[in-house]
Amino acid sequence: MDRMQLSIKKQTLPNGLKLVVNEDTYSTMVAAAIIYYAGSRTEEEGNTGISHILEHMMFKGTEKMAPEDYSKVIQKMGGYDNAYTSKDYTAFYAYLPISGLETFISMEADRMVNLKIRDFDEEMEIIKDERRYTTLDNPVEFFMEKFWLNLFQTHPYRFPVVGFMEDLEKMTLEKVLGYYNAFYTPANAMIAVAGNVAFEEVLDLVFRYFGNISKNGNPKKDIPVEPEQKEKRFFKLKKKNVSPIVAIGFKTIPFGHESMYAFDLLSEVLCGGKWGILVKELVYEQNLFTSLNCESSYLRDHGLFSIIGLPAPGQNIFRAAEILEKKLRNSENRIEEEMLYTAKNKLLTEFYFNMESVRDVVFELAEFELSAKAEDVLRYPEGIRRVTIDEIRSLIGTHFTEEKETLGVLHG
Amino acid sequence: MAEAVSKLKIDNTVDVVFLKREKLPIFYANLLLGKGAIHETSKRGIHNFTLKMITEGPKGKSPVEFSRELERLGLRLKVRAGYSISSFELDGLSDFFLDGIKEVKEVLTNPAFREEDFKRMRDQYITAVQLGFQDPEFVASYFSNYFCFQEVPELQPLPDFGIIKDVLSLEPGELQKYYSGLLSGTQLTLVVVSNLDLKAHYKELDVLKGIVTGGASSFDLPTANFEFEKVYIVDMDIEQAHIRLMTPAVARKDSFHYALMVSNFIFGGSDLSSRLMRRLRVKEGLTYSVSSSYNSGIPVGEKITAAYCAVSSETELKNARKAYDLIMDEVSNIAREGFSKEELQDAIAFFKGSIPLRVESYAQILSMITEEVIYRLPYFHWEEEIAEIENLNLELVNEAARRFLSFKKPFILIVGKASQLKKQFEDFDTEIVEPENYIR
Repeated sequence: MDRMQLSIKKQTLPNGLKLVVNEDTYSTMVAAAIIYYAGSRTEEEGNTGISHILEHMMFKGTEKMAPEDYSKVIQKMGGYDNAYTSKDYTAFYAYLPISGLETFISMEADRMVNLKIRDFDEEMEIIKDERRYTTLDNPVEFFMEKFWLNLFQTHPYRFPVVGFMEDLEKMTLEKVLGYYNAFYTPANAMIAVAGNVAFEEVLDLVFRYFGNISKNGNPKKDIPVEPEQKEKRFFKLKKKNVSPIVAIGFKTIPFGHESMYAFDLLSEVLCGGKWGILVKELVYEQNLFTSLNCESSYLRDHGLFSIIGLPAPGQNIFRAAEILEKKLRNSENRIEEEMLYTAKNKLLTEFYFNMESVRDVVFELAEFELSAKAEDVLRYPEGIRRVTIDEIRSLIGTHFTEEKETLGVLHG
Repeated sequence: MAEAVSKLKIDNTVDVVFLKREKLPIFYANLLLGKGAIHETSKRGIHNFTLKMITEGPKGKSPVEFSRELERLGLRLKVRAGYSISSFELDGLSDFFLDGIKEVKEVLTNPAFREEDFKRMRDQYITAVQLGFQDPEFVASYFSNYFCFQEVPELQPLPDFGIIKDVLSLEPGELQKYYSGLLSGTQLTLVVVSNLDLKAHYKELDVLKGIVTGGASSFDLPTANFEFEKVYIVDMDIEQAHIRLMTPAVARKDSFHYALMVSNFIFGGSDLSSRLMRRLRVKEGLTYSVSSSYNSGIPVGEKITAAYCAVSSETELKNARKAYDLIMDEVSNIAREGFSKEELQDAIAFFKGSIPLRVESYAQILSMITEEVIYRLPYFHWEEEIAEIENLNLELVNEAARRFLSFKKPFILIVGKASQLKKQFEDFDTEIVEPENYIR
């Protein structure tokens, strides 16, 4: 396990742009991304989805580049590019032959300052189409949207990344350009690169193309604080012909917190393979659910521990949810050393696999740098090894109390 | 890539193909079994269900114990049923490679087939059907296969899902009976990418002997010729329409194969740069996604069969006909005017430039070698592929498009509200499909 080495180097330019690089001499290619700290987190009521809209509009060309030519240029080099928006940030990335890195960096610098949005209305129709496609016609996604709305009451994490339809309907070019000018600046961005490249060479390129950009924005700094949850939240959603789902969620620790390792292990101990406490009992012994999935995820301001269950055919979903809640609270004293041992081996192996391709490493680096620091990625194996059974047990009593729970039920 | 592919023959029924890659002490392995959904002799879906049952664990170990035994070593095991070949996919740290192989052997040769596991898996299948039938993309895939390959029932089911009514009527005894013939008259190939030199483990790989018997046997499948006169509308209460078109194509190894690969890339296989994307999305703002694909066929014995080209798109319900007409208009444009020299040059540049991206990870290399084994291609076949693509001329690429992307009498399936769709396609003969009728 300790044979793995990542060579992580980073620097911040005088204009505030961060650069983080992993030199991987074994790789045949390079993966590069520019991350803007703009996502649901930086959005406001009435303008939901604006980060994602801007992500689309960034492909509408610049003064010197025609709409949609960005991807064509990348493709001609044999590369692949795409973009996505999350609750915390927006990423534009490309996988390239090594010789293509300079083109990527130059095009990103160009569209950071020279964006020229054409065909705004047509693109808005595509975005509405995306919302219908990914959410309105997808009962699970629609239900998860309601789940986030219940989990958070003040913090903008409650907004769906794609935005509400009523906000999309009234979005204007002016608003999007205002958002672009405020958020798409060097000081509000990071470039992450992983691949067979030398840090100094990448730094030279970044200085050459971004060094002179003095664009100053005014990104939103005051993110509404989510008040402490003091009572259990419950919602149900009825839809015709759906597969029923139970979702239980708890707001937890933000990315980079010391307890991240323990939460990752707890997720395995409860739902890992077929042996996790909840899976073993409720899926394999009692046949109450056909599947149970635990996930611990982390954002800049909060984490989320969720348990998603699909009840077995014929089971009463409300009764199944009640039993799941009880089992969860009673699981504290049922965690054994053997389970922790298995969970650790599983996660340590997965860590290797996650670090195998520069396609994944580039986003690991960016996420760690965004909320903590990129080098912390190397501490992950040690962090996992250090966790004790008492730490895991204590998480259940501390974080999974009834008043901190959000429960959602989707039923037919 | 400096590494070379090596081959070991364990006996007449087992080959090992491996590539040593030093980057990390991990392995990715595919144990390929020369049986798949087309070999089903009774209910369609029994092959997939049997494989899933096998991986619940061997006799003497519960599914929970078997799962824990693998995961405490950090091993992951998945099974994937294909049409003619199925694979047991195993990965983990190289130190545990041989342990993993032994576990796979144990479970393959001595599966438990417990009644309670059968019941639970049946419930899991019912849940998967419920989830699948609320996803328009899955519904489109399920019914496209079902109706497009009506003349070849072996190809009707999705190989990893089966035909729902058939699967729901399965009895535990039928699975055991199917299993009794599963490992005979076939062959195993283990494909591995890892930091291990498997030549040094030749003796330990003896463990693979005796799992299957008989070596590869021949199997024939009728040719899937499809010409359609009507539109299938799958009725679903959703806001979008999901469109699928399919038309026969040439199989891999045909002289038009590379020309069609490139034609498809320009037509709808190159994301935002493709003709379809530029027309329907960029110019008309009509769809979030539209693409075309070229499936170069299923290997069946010495032959490769059932190759096809397809177009997939979704759009707002009211625009379904407009989207269909624009797709067909683009098809006509290509047939009439062909592609431009610049489009061909860009496509060739893409295929050539993308080589470093295709062999970057263990998983990609494993997938590439597996493809070579399955289709009996030379190792590092992409070198030959690029040479062939670089030699293509515009005439040949345009000819491939005219022949195989003409969508004459194509298979057409649309998922959405039938009442609205039927009106838009009233100049076609339409068949309304009620999904519920295919479950019970």
